[in-house]
Amino acid sequence: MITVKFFGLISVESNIRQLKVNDGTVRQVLNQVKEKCPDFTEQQIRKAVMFINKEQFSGNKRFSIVLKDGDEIALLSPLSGG
Amino acid sequence: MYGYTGKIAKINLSSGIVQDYPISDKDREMFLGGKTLAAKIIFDSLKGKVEAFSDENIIVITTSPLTGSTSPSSSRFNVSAISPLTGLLVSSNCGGNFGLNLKRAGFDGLIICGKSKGRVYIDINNEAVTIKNADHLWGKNTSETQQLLGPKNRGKFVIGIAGENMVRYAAVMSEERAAGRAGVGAVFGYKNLKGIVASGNKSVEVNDKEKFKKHNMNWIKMLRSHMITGQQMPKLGTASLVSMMNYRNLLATKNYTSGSFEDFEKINGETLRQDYLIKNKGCITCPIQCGRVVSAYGKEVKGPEVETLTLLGSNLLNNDMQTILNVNHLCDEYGLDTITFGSSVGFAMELNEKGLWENGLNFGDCSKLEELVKMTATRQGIGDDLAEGTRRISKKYGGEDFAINVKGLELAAYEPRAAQGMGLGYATGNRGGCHLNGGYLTVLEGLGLNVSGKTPKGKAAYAIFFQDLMEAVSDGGTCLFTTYAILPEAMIKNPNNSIVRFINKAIPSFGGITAFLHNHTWLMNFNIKSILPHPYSIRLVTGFKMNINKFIQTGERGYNLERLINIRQGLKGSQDTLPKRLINELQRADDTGSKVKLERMLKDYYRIRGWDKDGIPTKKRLKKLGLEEYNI
Repeated sequence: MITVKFFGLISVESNIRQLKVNDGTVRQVLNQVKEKCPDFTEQQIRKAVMFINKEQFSGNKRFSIVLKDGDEIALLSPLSGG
Repeated sequence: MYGYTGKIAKINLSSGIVQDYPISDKDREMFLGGKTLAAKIIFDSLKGKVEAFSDENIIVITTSPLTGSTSPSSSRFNVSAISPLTGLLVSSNCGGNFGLNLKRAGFDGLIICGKSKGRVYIDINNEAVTIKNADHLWGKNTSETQQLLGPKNRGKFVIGIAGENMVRYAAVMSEERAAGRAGVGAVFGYKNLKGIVASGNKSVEVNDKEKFKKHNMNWIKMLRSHMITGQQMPKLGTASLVSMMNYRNLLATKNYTSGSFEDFEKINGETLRQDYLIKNKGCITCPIQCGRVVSAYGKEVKGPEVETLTLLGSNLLNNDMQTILNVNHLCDEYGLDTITFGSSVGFAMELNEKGLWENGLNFGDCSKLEELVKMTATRQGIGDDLAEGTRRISKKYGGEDFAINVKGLELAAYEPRAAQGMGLGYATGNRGGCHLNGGYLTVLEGLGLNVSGKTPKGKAAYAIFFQDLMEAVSDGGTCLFTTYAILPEAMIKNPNNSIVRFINKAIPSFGGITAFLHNHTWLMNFNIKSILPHPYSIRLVTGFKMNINKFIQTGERGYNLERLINIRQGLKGSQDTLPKRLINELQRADDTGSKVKLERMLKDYYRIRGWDKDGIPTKKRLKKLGLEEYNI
């Protein structure tokens, strides 16, 4: 299973903190999330800062990365100030 | 006179004499208000090095032209003194309702000198200043003291028990907002001053009322529509940063041995919102409303900022949110700075772990934390050592290399080994290891934008630019959080866009241009209201010919004047440094770049600032800033 975590405004707007979905590419994993969580949009995916196992990925190739059991994706809204 | 009451009261607690302190129109235009005006007064008033705990030390409270106006987020005021924690100048900016009430009482500022023989507070009402007996207030916490000082519509600024006991990082509170850093509360305590209460019905004239009203409406609209100030801050507060900091290795953890915390999700902004938030709260005239209201000890109280969540959470390996909420509230009630308190406890835990100081404190065990607040505020047991801050603890027990302070002031929540520019800011900040006074480059280095935190390239110029900008914003009287709306929203919202990624990569290379602009601010002899509304606002209120050029120059003038005071206090360039842990030890063993490369950045910093190799402002630079008469 893959753990998908949501932080910042994405978490607030989607009303979700964490989901577990089946293995696959990042794209496949996020499609599963969209199915389970109707408030989670493609736009949010495109704009999120994405960490896979705590390493940031930002190019389009990130969607092709193959995830294996136990991997974690974190999606954060960009933010600032403190 | 527009934007000012025109009066500053000098109150001598030794003699009880109250006098007017003269400030000329030229001074107001040059030094504006807030921390820069306070620096001018302190430079002029202290004739040489002064000890923090001495009758010669003075407390200078200053408002700003926008304080108490209808400008957004403008309830701010400043308090400055020689710090008992650093021995240098401390300026602390505060929200709450005291600043605007001081203006309503008819004063732009107060200078408090001498030392009272008995315990007193100062009562100000419509230009009448009275020094009153405070025996009945002594031993009271900050909320009870404020209640005893009269109705809510009077502005209060008080210390708690920590200030009375001269804890070196005692805060001064206005409502639940703190002038927290570097111990002005202890100077109040030394002077036997419990607090100040102010009220009145004076109003300050605005030079161009119609344009000011329209400008404010546009500015409020801008703040409400911006992703950071309109959505993130109101919905999640500053606590929202915890998660991103963790992923970017910026989250101070276990006394700065690491930049990430396994249990960060138990103490982040999302958990605070979901499980603990009762409602939002904010300062008067602020459309951002970043404050959190939570529950502690059965009461609705102020929630923690990101600094507090980090220093009382990950820094101690503490994953219990309710304990953080409780301790945060206790620190406010006793009047303690949560950053230095958390850092001192974390340092004590590591000393205990290393066998250098057997104090019974262990990382991850925060069962004694609430008791420790009381022990520190009352200087009981190990609390007497904790009350001294990390630098003095390290002198007594060792561990100087991992006592996380700069010039005596403990660092804020951001681990600089993952943000080189923030490291430089901490090293050069006039009040010591402060993120805001240091320029807060983490906003570029991974929080707002995604500029690499690993490279030192260009960071000196950006640190200087933001240090001066924040100085000027404070001088004007606006909350620093309004500056986050300056960040281009298109870049923040689209971090994966190829053009945005290219710009983020290129920003360090623009350091040279930023440095050039810093030294040729006359090229910005205009206002761009939609990007930087602050100088135009000041122009409309005061009638000064304020623009971006003059605004940034005011900030630079203030930064240099503060530096001169610090040099007079004995500061050496060699103190523009960081704890050895952050310079010599890798944050992550597999990343050879994960330490602060300070030396290179510091050379650039001095050069761009126009300081000599010892970090002293050159005569040429002082002349350029109109400070040629400020000799040390």
